[in-house]
Amino acid sequence: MITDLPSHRDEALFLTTRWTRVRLAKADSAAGRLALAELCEAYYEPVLAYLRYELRDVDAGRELSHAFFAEVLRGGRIEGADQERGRFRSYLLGAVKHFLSRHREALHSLKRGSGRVPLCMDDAEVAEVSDPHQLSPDAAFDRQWALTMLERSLNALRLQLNAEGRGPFFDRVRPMLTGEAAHGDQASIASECSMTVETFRVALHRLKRRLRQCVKEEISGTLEDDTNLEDEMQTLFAALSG
Amino acid sequence: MRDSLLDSRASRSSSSLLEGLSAKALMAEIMEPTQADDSGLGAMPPLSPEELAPHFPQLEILECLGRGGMGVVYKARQKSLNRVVALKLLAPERAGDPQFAARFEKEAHALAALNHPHIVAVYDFGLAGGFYYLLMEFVDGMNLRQLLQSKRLTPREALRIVPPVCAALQSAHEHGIVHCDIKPENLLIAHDGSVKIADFGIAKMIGHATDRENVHEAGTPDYAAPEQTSGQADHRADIYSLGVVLYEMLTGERPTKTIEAPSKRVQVDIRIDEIVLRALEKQPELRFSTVADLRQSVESLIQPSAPPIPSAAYSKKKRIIVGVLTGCLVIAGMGYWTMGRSHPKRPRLPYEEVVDFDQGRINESFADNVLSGRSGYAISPLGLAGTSGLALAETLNSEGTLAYKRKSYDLARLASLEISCCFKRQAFAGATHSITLGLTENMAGHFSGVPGAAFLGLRLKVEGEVMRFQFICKEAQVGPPRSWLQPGEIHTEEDEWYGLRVVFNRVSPNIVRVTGELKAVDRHGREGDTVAYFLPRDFAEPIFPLREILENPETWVAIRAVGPGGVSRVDDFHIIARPLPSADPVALDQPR
Repeated sequence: MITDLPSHRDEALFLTTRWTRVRLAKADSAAGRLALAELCEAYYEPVLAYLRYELRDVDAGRELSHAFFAEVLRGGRIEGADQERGRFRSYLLGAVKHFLSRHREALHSLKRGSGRVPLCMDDAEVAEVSDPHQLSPDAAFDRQWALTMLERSLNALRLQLNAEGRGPFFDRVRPMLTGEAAHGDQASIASECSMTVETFRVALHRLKRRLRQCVKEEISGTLEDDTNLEDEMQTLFAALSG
Repeated sequence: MRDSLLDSRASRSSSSLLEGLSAKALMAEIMEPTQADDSGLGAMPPLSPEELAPHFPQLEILECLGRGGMGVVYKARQKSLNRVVALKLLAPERAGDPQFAARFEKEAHALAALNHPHIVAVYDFGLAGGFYYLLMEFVDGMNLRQLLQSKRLTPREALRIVPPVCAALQSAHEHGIVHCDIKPENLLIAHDGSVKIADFGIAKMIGHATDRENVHEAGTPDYAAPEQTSGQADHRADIYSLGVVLYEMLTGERPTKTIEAPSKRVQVDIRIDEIVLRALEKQPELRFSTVADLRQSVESLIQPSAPPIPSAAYSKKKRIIVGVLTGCLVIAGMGYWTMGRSHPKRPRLPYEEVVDFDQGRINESFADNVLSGRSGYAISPLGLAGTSGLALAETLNSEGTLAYKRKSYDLARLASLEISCCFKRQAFAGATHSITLGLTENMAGHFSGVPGAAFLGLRLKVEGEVMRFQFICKEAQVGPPRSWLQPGEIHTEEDEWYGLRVVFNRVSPNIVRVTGELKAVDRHGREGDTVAYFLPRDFAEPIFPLREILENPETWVAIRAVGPGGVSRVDDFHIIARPLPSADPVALDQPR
């Protein structure tokens, strides 16, 4: 039986989810399944994005991701190749693909036996080549993964600042995290936050450093060990480049 | 319990913390914290229609049409007026800048005031979801760049594009607006052949090198007048840009530093040289003083009072003349070959083959070559204009491929191969494709994925109640077919006749260029409106396994029609193979 997730959603987001925990946990243990459930809930969006792009239908994508996660959370074994286990992202994508192909087979055999007009079977094999101008489903998955990861990292940072009583500062400064873009006058924002311009610049710099730390923690949580961290960051950055 | 968790996610309202931020820029910042400035922004990946939808509740976002230097363009439907529009999103880096906002508004007002039949209209503008956006007229057609990529314009055709552009520019200049970014990508050519200028004034909005921030170049520098870099440009900059475009249309290339006169590169009237070179003068004072002057000069050449003066240096260089472009039908009155019976006794071209269904029997060479498919074809008296056509058997299970072989469809020896037919629509009944035109290696393969002969073709794929163009090709024996699906849905109606035309061009040993068109056709086979285009697209090795089929001198032209794919009858199966030009390249260019 899987126990309930913690009721405070914010804290659930904040908890570092460890892929290692899942990997090390015994397959049938409640702790293992709980950890897996947390990870899946955290990275629901990329699965949804993948299925939407693959099925080319928003509703079908949503329904199928629902079914996928339901199966995962019921304790169904996720099938996945061993070499993908180092990264939860690869593992989850493999699992979704496997799930999808099983689903398609089921759909096919249903139609085959239904006594209706037979479809042109050879079409199931036509391998579509991706248009460089459109995202492939895999690329959509990775891109959404990167977005979700950033969202979670920003949220983690926000919670930290909230706990320190500096929530409003985070809100004011958030648009400036991308760089030194002149979003409004720095001096006026500084005085809004009751700081001198110098102090403000230092505070912003420190905040960026903390964000970097949050991102690294978030990504590590999906890796088996940290040797892949730099590479994973590069991959996610590339995924955002479309 | 688990399920409720998943459901609650959907209803959880979340204002994203990424709102207003470029995710890529954020990630870049995280990875390289020592950068002090905005560098590395580059282009954002385009948002999907679903991601955009919440920011534009008044629109139904249909599809992404593409990305240009200024931003991304989407096709959308304006719900209140039920019309199709183009939504252009400008780069998000500007979103926080109040100076930009003021400039944007000013320019948008000026654009809206420009009301000209040859200028893409602006309906609305604003700021949503962190993007500045423009809501514009949707032009169903292609841009000049796409046209140039698919065919070589004759000098006449090139010149005919100029007057409407000049008329539009003149009107704009009189309103004090300079385009600043005239280039083939911004000249749109609609289905009916009319020309419209797009992206007016946007270049000015975005600004050029005068801005202190990093600006990614707004358009190709090749088209910009020399004085534009210093910010001193006036309306004469547009004249220069138009000159570059004209040069490129005539010669196929943009002018280099030392400009070579067009008549030295292609066979054109030398009076064109004067016009083009004057427009391309480095100093604005030496150019035409207004676009109206340029227009007048061009028009005098289109309607000559004296016969044209051929250029002295006629190049005898052999060039592949691309066959009739099906993507852009009529440019200012040039007639193109029309399908069907609109010309009752049109003399058949020596290289044209028509499959004769009208005798009430399939002709001999065809009879040898008919594949019966899964159930038979029958000649029926219910083709176009009451003549005989092929009816697919009345049961829903029918489909089949007809292969017609002629001596040589060796695409290495052809300029182009055009295949067309008409078909009548019936209800879709579960099949995933309806009609395919193309080439097969031998009779054993019928555009099918099962092990068999190599093929390539363009087909109409069926998805629910709509169709889509799809290019497919396969090598013999091995592997599944590869395909490319064009975005965009095609809507057709039951009991109506349509004409499908496909043109294959082998532009190089490894590359085949495909264009296609679906037109409505009346009961007599006369062409009506175009329903959809397959925009010119190149398919190349190694992704698409073309060689086998292209190198085979015995390829068969084939048509495959599927009853449950919505086809009840087929008629007017035409094949036109255009050989490479021999001595006289002009002969093939005549209007029919």
